Amino acid sequence: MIYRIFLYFPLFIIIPILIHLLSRRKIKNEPFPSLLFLIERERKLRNYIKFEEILLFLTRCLMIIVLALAGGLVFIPFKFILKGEMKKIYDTSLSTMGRIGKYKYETVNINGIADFEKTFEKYKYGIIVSDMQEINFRSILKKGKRYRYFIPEILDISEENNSMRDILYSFDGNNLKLYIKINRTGKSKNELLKISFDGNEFNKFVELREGDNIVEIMIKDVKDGYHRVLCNLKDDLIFDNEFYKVIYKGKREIKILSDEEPVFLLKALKMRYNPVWINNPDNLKKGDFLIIENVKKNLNLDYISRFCSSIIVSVNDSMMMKDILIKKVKPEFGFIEDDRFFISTEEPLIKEYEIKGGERILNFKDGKSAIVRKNNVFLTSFSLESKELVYHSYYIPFLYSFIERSFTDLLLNLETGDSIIGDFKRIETPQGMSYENIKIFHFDKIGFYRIFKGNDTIFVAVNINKEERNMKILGKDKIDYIFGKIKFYDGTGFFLFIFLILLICEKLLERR
Amino acid sequence: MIDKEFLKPEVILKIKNLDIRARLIVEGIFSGIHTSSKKGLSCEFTEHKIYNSGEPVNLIDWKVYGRTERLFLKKFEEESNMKVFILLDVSNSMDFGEPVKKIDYAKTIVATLSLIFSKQNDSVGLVTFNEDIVDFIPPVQKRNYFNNIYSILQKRRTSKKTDISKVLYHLSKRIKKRNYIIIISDFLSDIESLLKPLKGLSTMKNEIRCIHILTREEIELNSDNAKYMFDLETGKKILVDPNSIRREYRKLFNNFLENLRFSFNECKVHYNLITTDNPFDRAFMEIFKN
Repeated sequence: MIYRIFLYFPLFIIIPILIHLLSRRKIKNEPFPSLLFLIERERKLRNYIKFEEILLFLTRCLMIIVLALAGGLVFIPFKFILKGEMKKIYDTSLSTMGRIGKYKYETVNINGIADFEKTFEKYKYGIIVSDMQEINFRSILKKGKRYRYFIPEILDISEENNSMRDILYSFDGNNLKLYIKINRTGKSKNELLKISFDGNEFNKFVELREGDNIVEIMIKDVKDGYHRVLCNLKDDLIFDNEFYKVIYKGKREIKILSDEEPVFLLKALKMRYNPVWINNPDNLKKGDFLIIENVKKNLNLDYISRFCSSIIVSVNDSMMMKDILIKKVKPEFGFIEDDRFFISTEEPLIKEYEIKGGERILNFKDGKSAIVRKNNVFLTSFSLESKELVYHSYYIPFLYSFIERSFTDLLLNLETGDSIIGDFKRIETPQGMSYENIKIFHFDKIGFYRIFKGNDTIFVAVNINKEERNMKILGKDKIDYIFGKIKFYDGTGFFLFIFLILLICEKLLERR
Repeated sequence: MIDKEFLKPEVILKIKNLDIRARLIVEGIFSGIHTSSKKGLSCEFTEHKIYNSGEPVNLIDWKVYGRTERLFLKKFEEESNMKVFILLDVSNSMDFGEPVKKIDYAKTIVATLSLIFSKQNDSVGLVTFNEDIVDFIPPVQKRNYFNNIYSILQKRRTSKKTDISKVLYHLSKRIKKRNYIIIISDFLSDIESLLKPLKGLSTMKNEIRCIHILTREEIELNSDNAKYMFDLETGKKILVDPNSIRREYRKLFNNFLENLRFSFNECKVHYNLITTDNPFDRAFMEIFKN
């Protein structure tokens, strides 16, 4: 084992200095019959010998220093050593989209989640260009691993962006007034606001100043019924995308949905739930059902996920609704497999898990195990307290499938008017479809719930708190904790090699 | 028969007694060579002379008397022995070499040569010199005369600088014609100044042989570490890093040797370069080759 205390060794540099001063190289006196043939070279030689003396002294000093450096586990700036080998490793996870400020680079593949542990296994050293989302490093933080040969190059979050925060409305006779709340970060800028009303598109230039802006749009002669309203602000943040406004004249509950093809709207309506579109999670009421559907792959899912984290059905602690039992359970883990929509509900669900080649194996107490594959398995922590597993909020599209499936099942087995169904509202759509709206149960307590129907466990639900929803960039202390403060290459071998060379030089000089 | 291993300088020089050293080397050099059983003075008969009373009777040629009945005396021409001057450089520069110093190697060569020449009834003299003549032992044909040479060699230590030209100049004044002069030195001095006295001695019909004694280190500068080198003769000290100047040094030194060889050749001087790592038998083979 080599210790840093060896770094004090350079103090011993005094030794060669003393040796040099006290015991200078002894030059013998020897007789010679005649100096006739030697005398010409004398002066040159005298200077040469002096030079050699200095060289010998320096070599000895260097030897001490190099030996101390080798013993002291001193690192060489590895940019210097590994100049040709340094790799820039880009985080091409979805979260980096929309977070790129001045570092605009082309992502080759947009993958769901940045798997940094796997990256660190693959590469020995490099520069990590990433937005350093804490969520990506949570397991590393948990294990306390250090990757001292990686340099984090933290992507700036875009300094300038616009985000549509809310759309309010009012009626003035048959005229609809939209109040579009847009927040701008950065200098004032003219932006193009694209509005579509029942397929009729029009654009409007709006001047956006820093902070909240209210843009008023007047739409005249709005007839009764459902109408599509689509607002699109060309912005750095792609999240601010298209959405719908559904107007039901005369009704106070008018919701704005977020999708061009309101599949989930229809489903939610079919299920007699009250779907909500909202672009600020803080405004999301517990128990509301948030739908953002058909999220495009190149969108900033990470950003969207901040809002989608609230997508969960909330239920009371425990109650029976006809033959359906809704029961609050202890915080545990849930496991959902994408392609079969299987929900495991054994309790306690997970005995242990391990990582093997980037895959996760979940072992359940009942002896069953499941491999969680990166791309088609949703793995989420159902515990607010536990941080054992990483919560990946990127799988929102899948979550929709899950929800869809769950509610389809529920729907098939429930009869209209069952106890969980509240007030009926019939909604007519312009397409001539009618839906019943139902009163939503409000389950205010954050926690874990199961929904049983007969012998089947159908759903596990949780409301995740605000802290969990918010994306966080790793703090400096955590970055230091993961990557270490010193970015150097272990120079022991290098210094020992230099020492060997110096030793040979010293011997050669000494011999002369 | 002497094992050749014993003729290695580092072995031979362990023997302190020069006489024994020389005899061992001589034994080693000539072992295996067939020696004649006849010994004695070499006298050459020239003519007969009519005997006069009072003249030595033992010189009467009785054979001629038997034929002619007249008394004739044999007349011989006496063979003149060669006078050999061995000049040994005892300057400070000779006090160099590891494990064998040039001076020790040179002294052994001098002793051996003295012994060899004495055995041939040549008269051997020794001149040691540095910047001037230090010892002068004239060549005398006398039994065991070389012991004097040995004793001088034993006690003589290196000192002062080399000035061969000055020494040769003085020597030329002290010797007569037709000598055999052997100069043993490292010749680390100015070649140009050396040529003139050498030529002078040559013209006096002296036969001259220069035995150049060097160490391997001097020629190749093989040592590694940087050091201060001080000149053994001048005492001057400089910083030298052999590694950085070796190539240049070798080039300069080889040029010096080439010049020396060329100059000696011009003066009709025999030249032998001997390094102190050479076994003595090989060194003498080199010397006697010519």
